[in-house]
Amino acid sequence: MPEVDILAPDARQAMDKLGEADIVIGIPSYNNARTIGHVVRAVSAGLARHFSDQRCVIVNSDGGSKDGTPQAVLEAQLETDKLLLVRHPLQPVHRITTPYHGLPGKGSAFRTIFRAAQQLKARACAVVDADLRSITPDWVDLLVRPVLQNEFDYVAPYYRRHKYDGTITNSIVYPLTRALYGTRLRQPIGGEFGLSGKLINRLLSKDVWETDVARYGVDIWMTTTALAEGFKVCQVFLGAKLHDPKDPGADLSAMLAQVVGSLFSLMEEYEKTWKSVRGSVPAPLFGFPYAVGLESVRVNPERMLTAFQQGCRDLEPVYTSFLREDLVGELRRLANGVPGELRLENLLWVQLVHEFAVAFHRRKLDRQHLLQSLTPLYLGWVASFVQRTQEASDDQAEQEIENLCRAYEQLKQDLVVRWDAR
Amino acid sequence: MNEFWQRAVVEPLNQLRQQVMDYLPQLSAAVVVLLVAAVAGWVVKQVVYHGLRLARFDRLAERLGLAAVVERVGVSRGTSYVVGQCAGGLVLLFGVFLALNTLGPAGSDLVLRFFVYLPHLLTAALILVVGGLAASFFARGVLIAAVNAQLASARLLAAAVRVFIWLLAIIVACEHLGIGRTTLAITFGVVFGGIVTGLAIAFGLAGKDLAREALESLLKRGAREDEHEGVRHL
Repeated sequence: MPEVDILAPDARQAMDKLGEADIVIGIPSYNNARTIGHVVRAVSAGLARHFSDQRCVIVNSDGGSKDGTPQAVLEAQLETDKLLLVRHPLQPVHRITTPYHGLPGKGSAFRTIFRAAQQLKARACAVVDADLRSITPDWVDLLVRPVLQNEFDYVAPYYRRHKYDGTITNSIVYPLTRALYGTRLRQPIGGEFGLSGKLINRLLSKDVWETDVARYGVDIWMTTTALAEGFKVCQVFLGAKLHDPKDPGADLSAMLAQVVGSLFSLMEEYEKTWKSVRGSVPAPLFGFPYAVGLESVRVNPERMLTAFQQGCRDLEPVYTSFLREDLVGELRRLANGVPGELRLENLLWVQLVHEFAVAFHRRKLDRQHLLQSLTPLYLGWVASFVQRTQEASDDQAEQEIENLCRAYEQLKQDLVVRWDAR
Repeated sequence: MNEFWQRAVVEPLNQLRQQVMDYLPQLSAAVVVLLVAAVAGWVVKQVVYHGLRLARFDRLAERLGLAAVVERVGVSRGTSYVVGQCAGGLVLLFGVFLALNTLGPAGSDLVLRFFVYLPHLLTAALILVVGGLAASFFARGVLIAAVNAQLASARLLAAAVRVFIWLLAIIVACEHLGIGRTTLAITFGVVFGGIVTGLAIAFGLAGKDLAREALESLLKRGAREDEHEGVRHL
């Protein structure tokens, strides 16, 4: 396939002028003028403090913001005299802000950042979200140093998050990725990553940038590629993750379909790899884990339970076309239950996710319909999780997630059998 | 009396016997052709079915997405079975035409007329098949979207979409077959227009508050989800 030049002429010109760089920090953005200034300052401070002797470039890849996000990037001023630097930076930190091309979404923004890193022959690249409120200069060091010093190819974040923050990660992405590829990466779609030049070259060589990967699927795609293709992977403790809510207009069903669709597509691509994996081992963790105070989140599971029960009732003909009869029976029983006493237990949830994966693989239903029909069941699991952990501490809630992960690992052999069954 | 009996009964009976005797070889030939075609059709069906199974055609069909289409139509015995049935059916159909031809000019005329009409018939059948698939597809899409939007009337909406697409397909198919061309189109237009106008007036007069609330809640959905669920999914 001929290589498409995805860099805007201005950006290419700026990079030609720079020649090469050691470190590229990418910030994908879309209407983040409110927070991106803080992120750019934190990154600049981190580079000045920890990598003062390296050639560093900050690349902002913007999706056509209407609120002046690119200007905010260029105007963000770092007051170096207040940073108490051990030594002054030997190299200035350059900033490039460029619109990305292709499908609108985070994946296309990443592609532009990776292409810039490749063009600049960067040894390490890190990507941070533009909506972060809890980023500190040390995040840059934590994400980049394992690549430069320890020769890791992929650095995933490890945060303290509220027990009800990141429920798609907790219910499907983390436990399924862990069970499939045998490595415990707690935040496979965390949003902040460190990558080696080698991994970037590999990612750019893949022909996926016009698929769901270009949207919400990019994080899980990068993580899975790194895990399944044997790149060296680690985690770094970044403290708390506080960020603006993701696009409030974004539809949960579409978001879930993109993430889970990417996960299932990757299961097909790396079928031979995951089938032979048994159990899991933790990925090396760098940084110093400490307790953090988290924002309290008010949760009302009733509406989710109503959605779950309506889904079980109204979508029964859809579920019957691809789910096992016993699972449809279980859903029917839950649909007629009393909402306050309802629980979608972990074992049932795992079996449902496995059946969805198998149906996706066998194309038993239009794939978009299949993925979108998962939404009510997902809400059922989230509501049950909330009911189980309403009074629990974050650590106890984490133990619940651990139990779920074990259920995924326990039922993995069944998944392999179902996947291969004709 | 004897003459009358001879003319009224015996002669017509003799003529009938003669006609039957004249026609019998053609009829027997047609029956034999049909029987041979039935046996040949069965053999072809079995050979194609087992041959494709041996060649692992079902796995190929699964990879190409053909198996899913077959399953969605409601056949659970695999793509090889469907292809086998079609091959057997074609042989039998060929036999039927051959048998009709052996019956003489009347049979040939029937075959000719059938072939003239065949394109219309095939087009109508295709329209119905595509219409049926489209009806299932869009009805399911509407059902899932409506359930995810937590609309209480999700099933009703999906059923309405299914009926509408089926009706449309039937009308277009009938047009191709030349059945009640204008009547069907006008009836459909009048009924559909009537329903839409009726609903618009009813909703406008009786449900304007409801419409406003529905639009408001739709526009504020993002905020409402945060307020009620408080969960951050990503």
